[in-house]
Amino acid sequence: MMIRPDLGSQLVNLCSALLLLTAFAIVAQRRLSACVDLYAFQSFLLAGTAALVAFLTGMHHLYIAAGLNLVIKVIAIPRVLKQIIQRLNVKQEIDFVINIPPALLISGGLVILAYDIIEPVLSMGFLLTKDSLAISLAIILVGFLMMVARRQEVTQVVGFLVIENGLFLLATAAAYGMPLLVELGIFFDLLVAGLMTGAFIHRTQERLENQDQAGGG
Amino acid sequence: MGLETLLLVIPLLTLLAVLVTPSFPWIGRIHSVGMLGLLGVSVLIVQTVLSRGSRVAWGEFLYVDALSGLMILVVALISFLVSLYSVGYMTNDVEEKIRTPRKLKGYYVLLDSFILTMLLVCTTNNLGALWVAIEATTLASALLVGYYNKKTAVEAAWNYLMICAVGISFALVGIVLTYYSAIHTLGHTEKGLNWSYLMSVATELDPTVLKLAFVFILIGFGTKAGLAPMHTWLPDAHSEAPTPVSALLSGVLLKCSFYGILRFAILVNQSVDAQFTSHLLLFFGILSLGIAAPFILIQKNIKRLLAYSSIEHMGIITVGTAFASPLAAYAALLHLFNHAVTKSLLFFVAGNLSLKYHTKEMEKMSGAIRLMPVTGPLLLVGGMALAGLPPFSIFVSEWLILTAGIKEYQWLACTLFVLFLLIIFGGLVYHFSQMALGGRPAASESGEGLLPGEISRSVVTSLWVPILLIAIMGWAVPGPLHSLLLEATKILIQNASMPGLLEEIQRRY
Repeated sequence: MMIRPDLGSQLVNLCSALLLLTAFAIVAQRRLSACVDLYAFQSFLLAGTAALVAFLTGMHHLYIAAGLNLVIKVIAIPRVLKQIIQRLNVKQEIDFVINIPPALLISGGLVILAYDIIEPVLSMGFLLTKDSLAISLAIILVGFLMMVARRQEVTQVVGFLVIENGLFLLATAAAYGMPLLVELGIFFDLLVAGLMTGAFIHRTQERLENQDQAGGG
Repeated sequence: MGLETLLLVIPLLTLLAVLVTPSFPWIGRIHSVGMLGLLGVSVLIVQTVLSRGSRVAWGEFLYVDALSGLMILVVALISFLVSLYSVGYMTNDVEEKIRTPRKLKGYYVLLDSFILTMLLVCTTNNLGALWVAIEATTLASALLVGYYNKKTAVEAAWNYLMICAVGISFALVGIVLTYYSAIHTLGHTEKGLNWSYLMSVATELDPTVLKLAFVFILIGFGTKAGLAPMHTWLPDAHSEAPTPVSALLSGVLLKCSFYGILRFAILVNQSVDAQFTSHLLLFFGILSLGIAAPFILIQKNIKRLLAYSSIEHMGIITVGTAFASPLAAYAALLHLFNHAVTKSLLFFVAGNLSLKYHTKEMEKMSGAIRLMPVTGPLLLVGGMALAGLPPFSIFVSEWLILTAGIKEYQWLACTLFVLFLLIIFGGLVYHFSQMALGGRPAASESGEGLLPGEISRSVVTSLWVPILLIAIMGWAVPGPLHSLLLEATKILIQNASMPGLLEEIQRRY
């Protein structure tokens, strides 16, 4: 089946825009579990985008990356995060350093910034994914904002995961995916997220023990 | 088997040997033997690079030239020293008595993976793999920072992971952009991320993209190299890690990340005017010096003091690189080596002191010279060497950087450089002389005074190698190392005129 190039390009753009929108939605969330759900949804969109680009360009190694994305980021990570939230009784309300309305405003500013940064190098991009370049950088910056503007550890981990999604989209948009070896290396980031979560669990448990001792004494 | 393969296999073999060793004291000793082998192989690699030029292995995946040779040498040397010091230190640990072989083996497993990832950083040709390797060093070393499982240690590991992981994500943006410009001119190719290949086509790469990529790389790897203002994770991480590991973190890991910046700077300088990278590096270098200075003055904890001093020295190396003349580049690389050796010595000394005094507070560590016959004097001598007093090695490289800066007419930078170095010099001399020469501390709270004497023989022996190197390097750079540095300078400053440089360095000595 053939798809007209401009239609393909529009589809990719649509997907990228939806990805950015999800990033905004994550910033606007008050409840932790909804954040995790939205992250799963964003990863699903990302896998879809990668598969779409793979289909349109014939870069088959992108299918592998998309598949890994689906298994790890859509299914495994959200499930683990939710289990942790439940088991450790992490409170559902998110603590803000920067409240939702200003955070959204800043996010909007970050999108403009991302376009500004990418603009000078746009001219040499592929037609198909040109617009996704700036969007992916915007997602990275919004994820960064999440890490700065939210106080809880789990939310910061989600912020980091959003950055990672942005990186993946950037690699897809800028070069139709990096060489497979590097592509797999990007998944390495997820190990870091895993380690962060480990450190977080450790910290929380320690805190709980301290509370117990304080209560007992 | 090629030398490069051997280099990467030795840490794995050592790891296996440590795992199967049942008896407690032998675990550390066997590890040291392995690391001595690693040092031997690295010397062989340097030798072949010097006599036959750069080498590739594993189908261009590994690439070793003089610059990576220098890094490999530093990694292997400090790893060996750290392993030697760990033998005595880890079994005598103040933080937590490590009495089970299992816990100790855990330490060595992490240490070896850490060393392996650093060697990978220095040998890989693929810039994507370079990123993966640097990320892997974060993973291995974060586990080492949190090794004691204390609250403060886990906190430090958390901050370290968070800040460095985000920083390094930015570096990946830079690498993707580099690849983006490569495939634009060259089309999709498997070699598109190989440094040696990119260098051969560098002039065809788009300068705008490369500039943008370099900014991301500098912020990203700069975070991990401890450059201000992205340095906030460093003092905690370096002071909470077990002391031998602190030496590796400060002495080598920071430089591995800086090595990533260097590789990119060389590449970018091919297609963009060298002023661009030079100005950026100068800014971050001077800022690091300026931020480290006041914190060094007010520090109370000895390991934090050493951590801030590492920020200072990374700043010095960055400034040296930024001056961008052959002399400055030579001096920066020399400083990289000198700092690694000196900082390891001081961390070992600090480790001995905290074993003796059961604290890391400098106030409570006074009178070391009367209590500890070897560690005490070495604290004073090493401290002065670190502060940059002649005739020690750090003074030489700092002096060379300064003269190179003056020759480039960088008046403002040179003034700030000297100013901050003087402040830091004052701070370090004050702290170290207080610790070494101050009055003997009053009896501790439990009522018993401290008896004179060293902790054990093995924690003292490992101090001799670095102090010897510091003294020799202050007098003259040994011939082979000198030619290695010259070759590395040629890579750093392409088209540098070497005869002039040689003459200049000989005149300075």
